[in-house]
Amino acid sequence: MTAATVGIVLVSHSAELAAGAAHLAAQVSGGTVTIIAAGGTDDGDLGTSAAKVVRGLSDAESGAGVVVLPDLGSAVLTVRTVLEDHGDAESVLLADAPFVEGAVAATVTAAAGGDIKAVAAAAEEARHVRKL
Amino acid sequence: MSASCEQVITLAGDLHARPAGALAVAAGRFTAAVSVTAGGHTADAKSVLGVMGLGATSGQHVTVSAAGPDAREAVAALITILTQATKVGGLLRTETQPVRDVADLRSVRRKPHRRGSDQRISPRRVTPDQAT
Repeated sequence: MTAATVGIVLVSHSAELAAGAAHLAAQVSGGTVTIIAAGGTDDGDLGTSAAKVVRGLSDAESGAGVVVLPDLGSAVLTVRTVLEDHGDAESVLLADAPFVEGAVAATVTAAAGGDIKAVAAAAEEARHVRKL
Repeated sequence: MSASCEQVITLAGDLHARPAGALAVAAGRFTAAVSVTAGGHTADAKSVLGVMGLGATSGQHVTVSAAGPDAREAVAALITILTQATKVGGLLRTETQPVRDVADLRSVRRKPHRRGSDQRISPRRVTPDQAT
């Protein structure tokens, strides 16, 4: 299991939310997966930044692809814009998932050696898992 | 060469997020289908959210079951993790790499709220397409 692991990019309107979710996912998964927090605007306000997403995709890629999780609808718009300009459909997947649960599930699956499709699927399946 | 295997353990501590993560990461590395049963509920051991959703607590009996070519190894590995990770102080904190954020320090410093950027959240810009 020395192959590259899938990287994770968390795109949130809040830098703190992205960093907190990344920290939580890293702790739960054992810290072996590259998780990049791309939250907030370029000047630190609430919002999303295409520039941060571009850098996040680059920083998270280690050869096995990257799964991106957006928090709310307009984060999706920012990510889609970036993927249209820079995207490689095979190496980046945008997951439609609850942000925190999806981040944790995706990261754990990446840590276990799952491929990019398995990691994205783990994130998306998170919406069906009841916590009560 | 399919096999099935099952073992029961009494938890020494609650099955919180980190032990659940360690369990799911380990389970994901085996080919066998692996499940965890506690309190009458069964979860896929490869699903960290499913394992956390069991809400298994100290003193509860947990059954690890596996079916597949490496079932025996999978059950042995997961029982070891359950034994160690749920001990008091057993997996309170994993050593993880620092969370990486694409923002530099200047950009996460708090700034007075200002209006006017396209990227900021602004109620008048939320259209049905963008709203989530």
